[in-house]
Amino acid sequence: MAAGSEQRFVQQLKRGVLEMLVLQLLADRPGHGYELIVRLRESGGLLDVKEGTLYPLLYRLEEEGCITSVWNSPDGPDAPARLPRRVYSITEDGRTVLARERAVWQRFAGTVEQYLSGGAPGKAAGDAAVLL
Amino acid sequence: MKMKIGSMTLDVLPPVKRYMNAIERRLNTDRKTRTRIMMELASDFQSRRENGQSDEAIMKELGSPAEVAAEFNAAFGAKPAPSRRRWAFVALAAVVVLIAALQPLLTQFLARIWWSPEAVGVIGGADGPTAIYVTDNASQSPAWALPWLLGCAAGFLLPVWRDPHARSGYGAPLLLCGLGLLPLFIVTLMTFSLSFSGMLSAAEIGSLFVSLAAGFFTNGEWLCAVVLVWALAARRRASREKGGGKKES
Repeated sequence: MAAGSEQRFVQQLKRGVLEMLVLQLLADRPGHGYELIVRLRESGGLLDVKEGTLYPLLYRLEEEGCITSVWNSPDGPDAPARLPRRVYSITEDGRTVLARERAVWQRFAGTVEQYLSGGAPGKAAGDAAVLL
Repeated sequence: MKMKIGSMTLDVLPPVKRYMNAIERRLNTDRKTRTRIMMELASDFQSRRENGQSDEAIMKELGSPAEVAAEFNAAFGAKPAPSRRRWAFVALAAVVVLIAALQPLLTQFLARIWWSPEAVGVIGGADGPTAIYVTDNASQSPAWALPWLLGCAAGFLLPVWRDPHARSGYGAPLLLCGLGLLPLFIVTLMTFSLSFSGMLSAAEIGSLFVSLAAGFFTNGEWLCAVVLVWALAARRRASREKGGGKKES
């Protein structure tokens, strides 16, 4: 696969799972936008996102009630020199959405894996129909 | 240098301030969202600084202001605001129209100073203040302004003002440029056919081509040619980018 095509494929996959990943990261612990970018970067580059992708997603999730945010003021001796940051945390509705998305993802990934390993295509097709 | 974003004040060097301002100018969202985005970007900028990144490295990693704003605009479904530079074509067209409108007065003025009365055809009373002068020189016709105006309109309508990577929207500019260049194209063809007919001397042919070249620059046909080449190059570049895959988001 050419580098450009591979990159496109990764982008498409990332776009599909980013919401779930962000919800999972916030379920682990609240964080501000840049912190989420850093935590996603720890994937070794596969899940790198930029601000222009992450923040619109965060705003939408907040509008849908899946997450909330507050400005937190820095404390400590150098507090005046530091900027406040908007910290995001997941809500109960967000946890419900995350659980649903995780279940769908596991079925989806399992079905795809079955196809890729060449087994049980009939069953896989049935699962895919349920998903779609 | 202090930079105020929303309720926050950031200590920045002039290049960073220019960078952040450039992003803000390009964001095509409502005011509240724009302020929030800029505050979050300022926080991120500060976090990256605290992680040891230099301002230059941060700006490089975030991408150009156009790229950063384009990502946000695309995510919010907002069309990017077209560049203000396109209004330079409107300003140029206004100057051309003004000159064309003042041309009769200018002609009258020049005729009084330099030209012999025989070179000027007169309509109306030459003594009256509302006298209209029309020279018998075809170059004084307002038609000279048409290629200028077509070139300006084509330049203003170029889709690259809205999206530097636009793959469509070149039809109208190309058509306008073609219309602007059409008379020159026809006259050039006629000149060539006259050249090969043997009816004109070499000196006359040379004179004709000099006139054509002079008209190309004074009538604004060069502007149509420049915009035409610009549009074709931009369309070709966009097609190549499409072939090479979309950019990383």
